Amino acid sequence: MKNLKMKSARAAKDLSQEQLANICDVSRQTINAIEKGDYNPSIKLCIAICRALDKTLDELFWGDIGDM
Amino acid sequence: MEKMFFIIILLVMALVIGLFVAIEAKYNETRYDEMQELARGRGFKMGYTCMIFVLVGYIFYDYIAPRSAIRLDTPCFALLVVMMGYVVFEVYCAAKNAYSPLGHSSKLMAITDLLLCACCLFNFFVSLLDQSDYIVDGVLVFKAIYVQLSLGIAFGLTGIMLLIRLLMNKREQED
Repeated sequence: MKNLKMKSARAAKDLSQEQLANICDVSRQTINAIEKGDYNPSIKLCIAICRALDKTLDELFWGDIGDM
Repeated sequence: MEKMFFIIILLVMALVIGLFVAIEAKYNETRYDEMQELARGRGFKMGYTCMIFVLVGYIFYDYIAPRSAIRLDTPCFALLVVMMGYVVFEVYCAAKNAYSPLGHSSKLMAITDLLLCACCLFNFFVSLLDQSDYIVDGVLVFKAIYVQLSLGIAFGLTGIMLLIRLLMNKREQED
């Protein structure tokens, strides 16, 4: 399942995948995999992403029941 | 005296490796990419499984092959098993984007791998001309140049895999 919420939040902040990856101290490929839904991040990384994008965990990672 | 010297060298090596691991664990703990670590773990598992398969496969071959068939001597076999595990691990890591640690240039790694591959293969082919008697009594006898050959293959495969991965990542970024 693609994480479109995270992608749009990143775009709203005008950050590239590379820039977000640098802020969260991970590789660009990891951010790309999370957005594509290929990788489930740990809670630690989720929090780092939320802090970088000024969002809450619910806003970025709590999907609708139909999406799960 | 020589035996004592050998034990001292082993102890020193163990101490240095232990120190290296301790320092790495203390100072490098906070900076890692979890997806890469996961892929490396899976790569290790796959490499290990591959080594087991090669071991079992060769034992089976040794059992069923006729007496005239070529067999490997012990160092050759050990080299083959280790290299198979290493190549599977490296190729899997490259395929899963876990090839280079954070902050390292993957392009530089690919170029280094391919250069090392070229050096190893060149050295192998030059040495090949000077040597003979590879098969003695139906057994492929270990020569030091086989290490060059297997390193050349390993570096070549990982270098090519890295290049493919880099091209795929570039295309992904353009999309």
